[in-house]
Amino acid sequence: MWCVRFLAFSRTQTFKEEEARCSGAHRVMGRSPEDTTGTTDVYWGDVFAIALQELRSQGKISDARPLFRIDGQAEAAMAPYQFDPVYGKLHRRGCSNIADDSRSALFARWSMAVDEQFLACPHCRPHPYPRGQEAQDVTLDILFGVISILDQFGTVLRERGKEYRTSIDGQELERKLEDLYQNLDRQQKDTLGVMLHSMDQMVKFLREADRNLSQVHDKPVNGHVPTNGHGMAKKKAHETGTMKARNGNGKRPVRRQNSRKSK
Amino acid sequence: MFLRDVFFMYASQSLHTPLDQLFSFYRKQVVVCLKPLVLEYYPDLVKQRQDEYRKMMELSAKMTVVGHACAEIAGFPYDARRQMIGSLFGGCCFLADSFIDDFGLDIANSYIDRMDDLLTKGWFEIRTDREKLFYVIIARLFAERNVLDPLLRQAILLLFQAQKRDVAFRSDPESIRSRPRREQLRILRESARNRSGHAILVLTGFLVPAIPLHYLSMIFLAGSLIMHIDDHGDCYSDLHYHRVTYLNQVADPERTLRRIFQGHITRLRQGLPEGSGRDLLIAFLTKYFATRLQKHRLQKTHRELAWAVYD
Repeated sequence: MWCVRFLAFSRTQTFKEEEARCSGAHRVMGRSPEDTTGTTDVYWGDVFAIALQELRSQGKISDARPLFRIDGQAEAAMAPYQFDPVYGKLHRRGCSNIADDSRSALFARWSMAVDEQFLACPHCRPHPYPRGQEAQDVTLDILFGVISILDQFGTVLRERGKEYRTSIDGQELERKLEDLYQNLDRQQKDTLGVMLHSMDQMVKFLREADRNLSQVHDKPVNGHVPTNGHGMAKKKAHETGTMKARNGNGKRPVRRQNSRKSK
Repeated sequence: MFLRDVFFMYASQSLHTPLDQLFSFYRKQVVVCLKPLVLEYYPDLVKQRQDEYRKMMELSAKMTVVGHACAEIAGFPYDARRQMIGSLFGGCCFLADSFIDDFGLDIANSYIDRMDDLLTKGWFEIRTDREKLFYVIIARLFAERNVLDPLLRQAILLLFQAQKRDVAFRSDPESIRSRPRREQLRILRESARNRSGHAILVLTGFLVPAIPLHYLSMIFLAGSLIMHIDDHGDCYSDLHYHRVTYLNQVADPERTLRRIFQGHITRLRQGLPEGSGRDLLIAFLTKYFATRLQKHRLQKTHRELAWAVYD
């Protein structure tokens, strides 16, 4: 699922931790323990990611509010600097010297390091401001709320939830979440409420799906011997949902002959 | 492993240079990374669309090599995790390009609409197995980096806007044709530059946690060169399918490309830090330039080679 994976990284976004992850010390939530060397065997995170989108397609979770938003144009419009990658120049926002053909490629910047002065536009002459930061919306906060739910209810982690809460990491997370919640305004608390409700519905759905699947797989089917859970790893994601039935209303894209250009 | 995979891995390899050896290594790596996903979520690609599957692997190998150069330029080792990110990104680009280029305008517009939803709301409606594979790949990519990092999220959005603009031009070709020729060429040049320039920045953004600002413009420059080279190689198939590009509209495309290539390489040599990252990037671009000039000439005389997978 998007947010699970995203949040798995969000916890480790500092440079040092990033490098620790690169040296093999990381653990991405949902990934099997042996899958830490850059291989991409199919794992339950894929199934979960697809299931989340299916839940929304089936109307079982509300999409009235965004799950998360990558589009940061609103924040970018407020940034004090703009970097032009075409000509390698750093401008103040709205500088009249920004070339017309660069306007579709500009990056908003919130800070300017002292050693970036050689990139400064000679016309608007931006001054260094190393401590600037992008103003984050509440999305990140909401997603941190989501991870607390998933940490407690995510399939195999359920039994480990209690253990986790008493761990140093769990207690630290709990403390941060309490602080976070205290600092939310009314609207933010409402938004969080909607999100948690949606997540709760999703967890219920997944439990139900899991129970149904267990029943199916516990019975001998067409004379097959029960596998007691073995062989589940290769279960296809679309067998659990209605993906095939809704496959473009029965129409699949038809490729024209010779339409694929050579790469 | 299927015999055809073995054939794919070894048939097109020449091991004369370190770059060729690296390509040989990454061709194997991308198969290890992407094939399990393809088999799980879109098995028809392997079973019934072998030519396309091979092109996907070849494109991913190229992305992995470019990713290697960019990671080293930014000062990070290209370890197993980053190689995996490079492979995933290659698969992602291939599939996204196919939605835009290969199934007609309706599918292209539908892809743009749903990507818009994905970037603004996080929701993505999956309709086909191909889209499911695409979604799983981007979900995995998003797990590898903080996608709300200011640089990465902007690069993703700028790439999407470049794709959107491309599709808009195809939907309404008159919007280009009605302009003066000089203006047409400017728009097409800018469009090519943005599509690949931002793509390489998205790749780099997924690979490393930070990119020095000055190198960012150099990497963007390298990306724009890749697109021009690519467009020259695809000139005849693009013209056949009425895809207008800067390089298939200028009077003397080879001369124009040579001029762009020389100018860009000179800037990259001066602007990037000395080291194996810079050398690898320049070696890749030089090889890509040479092979695409050759591809252009071959396709001019032997149109049937349009299906061939080029190194």
